[in-house]
Amino acid sequence: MSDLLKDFSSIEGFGGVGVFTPTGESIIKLEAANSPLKLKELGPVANSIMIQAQKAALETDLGASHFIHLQTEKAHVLVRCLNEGSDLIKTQPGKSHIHLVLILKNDSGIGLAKLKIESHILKLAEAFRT
Amino acid sequence: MNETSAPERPLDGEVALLASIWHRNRLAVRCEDTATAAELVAALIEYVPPYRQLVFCGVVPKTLRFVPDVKIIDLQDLAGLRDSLLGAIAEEGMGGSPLQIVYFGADREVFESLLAFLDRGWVATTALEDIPIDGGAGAGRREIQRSAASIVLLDPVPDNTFLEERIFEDTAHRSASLRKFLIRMKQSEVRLAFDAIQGEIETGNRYHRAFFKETLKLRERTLQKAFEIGLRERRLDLSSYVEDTPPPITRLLKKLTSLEGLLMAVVLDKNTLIGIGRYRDVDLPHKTISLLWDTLSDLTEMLSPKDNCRSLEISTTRYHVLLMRDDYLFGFILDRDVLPTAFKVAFNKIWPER
Repeated sequence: MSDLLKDFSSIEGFGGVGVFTPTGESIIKLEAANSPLKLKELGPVANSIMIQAQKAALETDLGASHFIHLQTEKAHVLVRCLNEGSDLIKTQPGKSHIHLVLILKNDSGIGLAKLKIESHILKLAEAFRT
Repeated sequence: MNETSAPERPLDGEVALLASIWHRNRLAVRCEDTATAAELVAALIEYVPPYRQLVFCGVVPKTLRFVPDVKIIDLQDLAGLRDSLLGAIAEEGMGGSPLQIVYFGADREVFESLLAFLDRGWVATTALEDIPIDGGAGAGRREIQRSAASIVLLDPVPDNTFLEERIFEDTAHRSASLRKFLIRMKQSEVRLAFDAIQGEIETGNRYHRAFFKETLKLRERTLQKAFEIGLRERRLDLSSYVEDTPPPITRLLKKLTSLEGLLMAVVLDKNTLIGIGRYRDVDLPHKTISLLWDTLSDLTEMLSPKDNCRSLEISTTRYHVLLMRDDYLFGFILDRDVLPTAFKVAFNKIWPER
């Protein structure tokens, strides 16, 4: 699992990557050395944004949300939700439900980051299947 | 008498008559025969909006005395009648029903002592060749021939007759009752829209046309009609209280039609809707965008308090939603198959105004 996370560090401008439970608890994380973008602080907030976005998207009839991408003046924050169950918040038995948070500097390569997220999220999910 | 009587298609004449009555323009039915005049008036009052108070004066034909909800004023004293009608008209601006007056058998004295004092909202039947009413003489006047009679439009036909034309086009070769339904439905819609806009404006908030089009589900032409008819009926120019979409935003919304996969675009200025474009069939309210932004913006500030959030992309099972903050807040609903990054690149190319 940590190898999968390490692979994200090859992205230019890497700030940190972490896997969270849908309730915002950190499961595993990897932070770039000397990065001004602190995953410890940003991760839980990014996770909350994902949860709120999911609720708002359902309330506004947009459908179930599984990915958000925030761009600020200094950073990109990408959150990917993989939920094999049907409950938005709870993790159902035998189903994986994780949130992957990736933080990058503003000038980073987002295309590559998105590709890596999609290719690694399923592998990470296997490890967290209950 | 210097009236123009250019030949015209029957449909053009009906459009002009409907528009003239709806806009409360002044009309004269010129005819020697009172029975024919009564028939023409009966046809014309079909175009009177259902909420208007019909008032018959003069020698009211027996065939029209029992028109539903009509008020018949038998006053022979023209000065008294004038005062009475002017009083009722003054109440229109305070919410009273707008009047639609029909004067049967108007002679020169009636025109000069009564109708000349009423600047709108009347039809007069008369045998006079020379109708002594100022204002519409010459180029503005039109005359529509109807068998043994003619209908003189004393005021210029309104410029905006799109809705009237549309009704007659849509009901060509259809029954009169179908046409009546469409006319009355549209007239009522326009009236209710005006009331709703007035009520909103009285709250003191700032509004753009886009808000009313979206919220009241009106097309631009209907919204425009609501302002025009409101001005004629209530003497209140609400359009001056409603802001137009800024021209750069209008241009942008037009240009966005060229972007593939864009379903809807919403532009907000400090929570005020200033522009909206619906490019494909998507039935999402514009509030979706402001709701998402309101929900998430506080959290994004927690994420980076001194670092403004520029854009937020949310991918769902059905759409991609893209929120971009600039001088305005732009919200885009994209088809699921579109790459949001590709859309952003294309958008940045066509939004050079910033």
